[in-house]
Amino acid sequence: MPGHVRIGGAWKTVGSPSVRVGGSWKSVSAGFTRVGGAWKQWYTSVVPGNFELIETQTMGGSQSSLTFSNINSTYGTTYQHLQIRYTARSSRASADPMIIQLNGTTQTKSVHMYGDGSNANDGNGGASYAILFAIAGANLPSQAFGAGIIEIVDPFETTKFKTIRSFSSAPTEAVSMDTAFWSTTSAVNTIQLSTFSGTNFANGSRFSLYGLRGVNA
Amino acid sequence: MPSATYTALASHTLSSTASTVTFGSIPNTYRDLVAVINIRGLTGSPTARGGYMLLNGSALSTVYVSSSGGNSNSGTDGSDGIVPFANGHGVFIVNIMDYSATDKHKTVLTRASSPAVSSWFIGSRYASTNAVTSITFYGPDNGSDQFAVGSTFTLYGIAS
Repeated sequence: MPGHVRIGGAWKTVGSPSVRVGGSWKSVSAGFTRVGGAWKQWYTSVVPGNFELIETQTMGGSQSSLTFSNINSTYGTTYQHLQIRYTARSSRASADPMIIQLNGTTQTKSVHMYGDGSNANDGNGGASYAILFAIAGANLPSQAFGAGIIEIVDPFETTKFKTIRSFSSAPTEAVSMDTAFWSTTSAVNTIQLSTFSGTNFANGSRFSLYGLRGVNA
Repeated sequence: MPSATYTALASHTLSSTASTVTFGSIPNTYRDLVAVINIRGLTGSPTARGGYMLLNGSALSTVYVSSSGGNSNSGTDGSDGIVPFANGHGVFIVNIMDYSATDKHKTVLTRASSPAVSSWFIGSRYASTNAVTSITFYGPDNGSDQFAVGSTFTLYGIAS
């Protein structure tokens, strides 16, 4: 959670104020910090929440895939669910789906319902990979990015197969709801996203991973 | 270290009917915005299917897919720029992605549910690189059908 420090009459944003208590970090919402020899008050505008930013990856234009790694080993006891929020485009000539892989496997499958402005459709994403529709392609203006929200439900529970939900749009071209299924009870430790075409994500494409805490986390 | 986000920025609960609701002076300190809207009904007799959303006073280009009666396979599809408020009641979750970026057009993802009527999944584009500083919602028939008392509009910010 960002905080704010008042310097020279203006509030400046600072990152995630926390204090270490008994060996663990605790979020705090107000306090004082010493700036230029003087104590300045700071505060955070919200109370600690249960939806937390874990990591953001921003593409430089030379990657066709990205991976969030060590998720279970780092966060498996902290979060109940995961969410990825992204804006992205690829070098493909038209809207480009993405492939999602959990733990590096190709066993995921998907179904989807989508509209393209003329027709509503549904279908299978493929037998050996999970497709999420869609990010913007090179046919759209260079500033136009597709966007999506991917949710992975109970990724760390070892008694359940894993279900992925995605809601995405390649703007003015397609909107899609996708469900992917990973038939293993293994906890999710890596998530890989890649363009279906194999072309690179455009410079500035960004992917942010969030965790949602459970009641006992 | 992970940091908490999903911060409530502003909220409106209508104490009188209103043809428009606007969130203005939105700070650029977050990455995405989420508006959660619960419309308790509309005055008048809506003749159009949908209400509208403006970003910085500008309309959006939209594609959507909807389902009714559980027949998702035979859903409708269109591109007329609506954010549906079918038959008055409706719940809407509007995600404005990278709203503060100044090098991207803005893509908006909206899930809309009108109880016992239909669900919509809507993708929209605001073809501007300007950061979004205001969001306006207005009802069908160019706002002549007003949002009912008790309708709520809440805006959240998500950092990245």
